[in-house]
Amino acid sequence: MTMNKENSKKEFVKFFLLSAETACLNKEAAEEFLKEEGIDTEKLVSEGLKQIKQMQLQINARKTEREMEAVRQMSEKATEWVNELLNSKRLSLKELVEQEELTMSFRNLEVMSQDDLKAILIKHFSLKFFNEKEQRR
Amino acid sequence: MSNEINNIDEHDWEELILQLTTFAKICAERKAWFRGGKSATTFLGGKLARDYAMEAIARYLEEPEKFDAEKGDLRKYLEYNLVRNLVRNDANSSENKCTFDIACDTDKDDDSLSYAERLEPYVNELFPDNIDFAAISDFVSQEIKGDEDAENVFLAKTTYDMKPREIMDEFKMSSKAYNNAARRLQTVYKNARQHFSEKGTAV
Repeated sequence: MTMNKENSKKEFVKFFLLSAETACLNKEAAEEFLKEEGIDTEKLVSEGLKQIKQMQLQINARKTEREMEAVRQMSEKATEWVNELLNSKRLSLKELVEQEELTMSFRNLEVMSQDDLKAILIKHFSLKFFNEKEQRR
Repeated sequence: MSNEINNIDEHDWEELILQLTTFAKICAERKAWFRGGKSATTFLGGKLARDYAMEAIARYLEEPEKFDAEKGDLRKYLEYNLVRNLVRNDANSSENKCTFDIACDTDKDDDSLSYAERLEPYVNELFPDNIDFAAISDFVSQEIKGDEDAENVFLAKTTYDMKPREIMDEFKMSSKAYNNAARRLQTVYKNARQHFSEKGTAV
């Protein structure tokens, strides 16, 4: 393409964009344009809004599913971790409370049943692992 | 849940749907310049302008983090993606293989540019090179002859690529006068497209 032709095309593109920008300037201008083209703008908008809400719900559902899966994985990891911890001969509840900054005193932990202790520790480590993963992202 | 709902509520989707569909329709009607008016609506496998608009919105909702507000407003971002999609579909369509080759090879996306600036190279791809753009320019010039505001806006925009505020300042136009001139030019654009479409082609 010669320089003149190239320039002519460039000018035309700018004219095209000016025309498009004017037609799309705001809601009223766009609506007027579409009505002149014979488009039912009320239907266009109501169907469009419905579609957007559906899309958003689907996206949120997928996000929730991913988060739940992540929580489930962390919970599994925490269970494994706690089982190893409780089976360890070197376990010191006092040290564990200090190290993990547990809000419960170790004396309370000492008098708890094994199952209750396990449940509390799994909860704690599940949250810890989940937060660590989020921070790494 | 409230954070997720905010993603919808923070934008005026009603306005965006109307604006994007308008933009898609105008882009779609470009073929009237070289194929004639009747075939202007038969394009890209029957995909409607609305579909393109909703597809651009869907892509944004899937990955909202890709939108950089410093590069322009959401509408411009959506328009840019819409045209990019249109050009890439054009390049891949069987229809295109019978008409002209679209050069959709290079990655035109310079991340330092605003979305408005990135739009232009893609719009350029929507029109074949063998259209007589000079003839269109002559036609427009004749149509707006004597209309000082329209002439100024047309020249400032097409030759000097000035922004609206710059044009208003340069020619001491009020925003009302500018908008009126822009609307008249929009009508002239439609008339020009009609004129060359009736001729059969601007090629």
